Amino acid sequence: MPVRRVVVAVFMLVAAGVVAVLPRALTPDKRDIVIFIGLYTIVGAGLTLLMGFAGQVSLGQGGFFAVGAYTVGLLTAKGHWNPWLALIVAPVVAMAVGYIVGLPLLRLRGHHLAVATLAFGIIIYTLLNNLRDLTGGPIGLHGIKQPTLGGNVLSGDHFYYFIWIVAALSLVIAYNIVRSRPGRALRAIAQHEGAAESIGINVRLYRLTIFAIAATFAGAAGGLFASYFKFLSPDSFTPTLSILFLIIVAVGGLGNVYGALVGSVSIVLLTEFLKRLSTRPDVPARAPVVLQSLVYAAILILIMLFMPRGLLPGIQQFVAILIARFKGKPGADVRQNEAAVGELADGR
Amino acid sequence: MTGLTPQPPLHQVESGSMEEPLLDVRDLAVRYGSIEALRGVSLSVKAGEFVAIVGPNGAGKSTLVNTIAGLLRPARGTIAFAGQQIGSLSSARVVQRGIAQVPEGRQVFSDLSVADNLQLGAYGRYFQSPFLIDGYARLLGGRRAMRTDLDRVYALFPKLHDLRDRLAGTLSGGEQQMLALGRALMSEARLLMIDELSLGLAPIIMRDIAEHLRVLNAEGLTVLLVEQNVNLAFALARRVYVLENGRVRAEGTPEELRRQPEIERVYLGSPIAATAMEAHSVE
Amino acid sequence: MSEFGQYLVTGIATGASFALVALGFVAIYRVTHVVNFAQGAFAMLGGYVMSSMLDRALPGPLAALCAVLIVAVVGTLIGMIAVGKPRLPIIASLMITLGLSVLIEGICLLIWGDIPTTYNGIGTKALSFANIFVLPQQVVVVAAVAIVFPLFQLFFARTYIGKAVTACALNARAAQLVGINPRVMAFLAFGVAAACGALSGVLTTPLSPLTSNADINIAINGFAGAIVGGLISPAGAVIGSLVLGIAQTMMAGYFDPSYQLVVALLVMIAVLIARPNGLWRRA
Ligand SMILES: Nc1ncnc2c1ncn2[C@@H]1O[C@H](COP(=O)(O)OP(=O)(O)O)[C@@H](O)[C@H]1O
Ligand SMILES: [Mg+2]
Repeated sequence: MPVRRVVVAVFMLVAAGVVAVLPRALTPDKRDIVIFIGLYTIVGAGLTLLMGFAGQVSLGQGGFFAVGAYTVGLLTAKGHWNPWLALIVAPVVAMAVGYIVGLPLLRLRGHHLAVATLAFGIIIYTLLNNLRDLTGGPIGLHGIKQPTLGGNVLSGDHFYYFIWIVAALSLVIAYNIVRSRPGRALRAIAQHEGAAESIGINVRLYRLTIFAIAATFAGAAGGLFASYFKFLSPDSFTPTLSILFLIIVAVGGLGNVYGALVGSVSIVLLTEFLKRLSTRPDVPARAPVVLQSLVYAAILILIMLFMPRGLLPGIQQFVAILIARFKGKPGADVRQNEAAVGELADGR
Repeated sequence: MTGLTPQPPLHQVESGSMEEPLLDVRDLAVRYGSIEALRGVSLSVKAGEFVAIVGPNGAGKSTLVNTIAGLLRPARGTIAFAGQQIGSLSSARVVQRGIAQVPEGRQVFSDLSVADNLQLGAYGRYFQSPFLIDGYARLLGGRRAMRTDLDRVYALFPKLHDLRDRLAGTLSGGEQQMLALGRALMSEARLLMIDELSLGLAPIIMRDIAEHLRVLNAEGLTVLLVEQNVNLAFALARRVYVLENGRVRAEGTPEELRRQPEIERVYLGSPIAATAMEAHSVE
Repeated sequence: MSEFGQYLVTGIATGASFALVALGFVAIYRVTHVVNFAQGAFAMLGGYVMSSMLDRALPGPLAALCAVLIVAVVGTLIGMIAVGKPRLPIIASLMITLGLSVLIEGICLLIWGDIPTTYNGIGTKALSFANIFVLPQQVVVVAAVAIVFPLFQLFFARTYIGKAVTACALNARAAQLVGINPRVMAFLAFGVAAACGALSGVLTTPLSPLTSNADINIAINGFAGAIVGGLISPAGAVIGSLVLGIAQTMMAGYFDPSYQLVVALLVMIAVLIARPNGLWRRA
């Protein structure tokens, strides 16, 4: 395994290097793109923990992202809090919401949990639209204050670094959670709930905590989002956002937290590419949305069909099979009969 | 098209010499992920024969039957039925070729009536393509055949006729076993595989059902019986395979096996050993 | 008091449109255990196809029939993608249906644009009894449920192929052993579900215009109704949908219309948590 760890370390160093020098090469609007990559990496790291290591699917991360964003927005625009403090409080509020929502929701499993978290995201979205006195409703929330450093408002480039530091931190935290004792317990839960219970792991508490941690990450990213863009409207937090997060994690793969980075880079760049491709005077205004829907859908469907462990691991596996074929080994299908034929619906 | 008519002469002529088996399993290996449940099992059943498979719990008996039925894929080896390879066919296709199974624990359709359960037993005869339309056409054309087959099963198990409108889930264990047997017979099978005939049945009922099975076999139906009750298996079958740990440990007529000291000791031995064995086998 | 009566009547009509979608959820879930996120997309597609058919000057009933059939074919194809691959985990199937619903949204936006789409239903003049107003189209929706629900029940309880689907839902393994291919049954279920969804879209578009992201709301309302029946009971789904429709209309009438969907979501979450198997499980 050390080779693998070296590869990861090198990969991370290169990524850090790229992130560090990028602002020099980027115009502000291109900087926004890289900022989105950072924000989505944070959310993705949490969601990877939840899905990959606790085996839970959440379609509500956009809701927690919104909670973080509006916490910062409301506290600075209406509460006149110190923006730094608001940025710290945002993930805490998201975590609290995560615990409160998770407490009843995590009694559900699999697809029921997926549906319930989707519902949570939609409820948040509806509230943002309807609580006009508080959130400004569809018109949005203005007057969000940015943090200052030494008397000056954090500039674009500095903010950029700030966000990436948080992104790196969240990857490191997630990585350490995975490697910690509770982290290994989580894996046991994802694989065999009964078995985990029988060796004395408090499954419910772990599940809940990891759910809240994923919410915290999303909340932190949401707070940064609000602070950087200084303006919030509910349309940034549609249920589609949660699906986007899901796709990011699906692309990055569930096996490694750094998959979140890979997923964010791929999806954000792809989104940008599609936007450029389809935003031209000679095509209808709805073309970008159409193209994005089609491409996202195709990615999600193809990954689920052919690379259920994620795009990156899927490619790795594919290459491994090719190499095995090349060397003349039959490449035994070890998964044979793993889920026997009744998997479609085994009655009750 | 007549489901339960005695068929022995026909099939014995059809399959040419008596040598060629109806079912021929060679070197079959089956795995569940990394667990190797069968490690090279060979077995053959001639047309009209009554063959039993015995062996302790976890030996791989159900795995063997389920693989023949097309529910599991072999990792290695071949399965030939009536001279044709069926190892890669779907369970639906296997049923259409003429292999029926009474699964372990009966598995009747609990929320459907007894009559519905029986009629669905004939599904594979009518619905042979995924397009369903042709199946419906055949079903409409075959109304009378369905009726006749149903009446034959009722003649065999009059009890089922009395219970025909009851939900299958409300039947007793013995009645469910009869139903599962009847459902399998509705498919016009040439080979009937039964997984754990006696499981959870009172001795009287077990004997009654066993007697039915003997009659069916005498009328020409080929039977492959998986049974933990070794005495029952030996009483019914003409040939017995002993399966252990995914391998065939021994094979022969009941008399031959009785003469092997190892088999005698483990499977038939003293009453105490036999009881221990049965206690062990409770699932 | 007449206000209450008015809300009740409107609520029943609203609930009836949910009920058709909910029946679709039930049809698919029973056989596949997959929550079909594309269920709302079926309704949306039904409405859009209907509008195009009417634009081509097809008479209403014929247009409706075409729309339902076209969407049923689309639904079957979607089923093939979502549950057609062997050994696909249920959760992957669920994500695929999610992806497919996004895909259909994109396609609808591409073809029908982002201007809300609607067409005239059956007469626009409201009928009134005792100061309660009903649109003829609302009557049609309720009538549709009154016809479709018994047909749905008859299909699964009385027809041979419907019983095969039910058998497959009850015990997929045993179903395979009589020659039923669960995958084919799943495709059939998707077809039936798509037809139900499409009918809902066809009939309710005159009452509430369609936009290309309408599917998610439709799906949630239908799902909330279906979950009352544990996703497996058609009767529970219809009852749940009607209650939900009434609750939403009351909520909108007496309090604030913008929280209608939240009511559905909260009902849904509450039922999921309190009774994951539904409040009403009788078939
Ligand atoms: N679905 C399954 N997944 C994993 N292992 C299984 C499965 N079914 C059976 N096995 C294992 O395969 C072996 C053979 O089981 P089985 O064929 O059911 O034995 P028998 O019917 O003789 O009692 C056992 O070790 C059992 O634990
Ligand atoms: Mg067994």
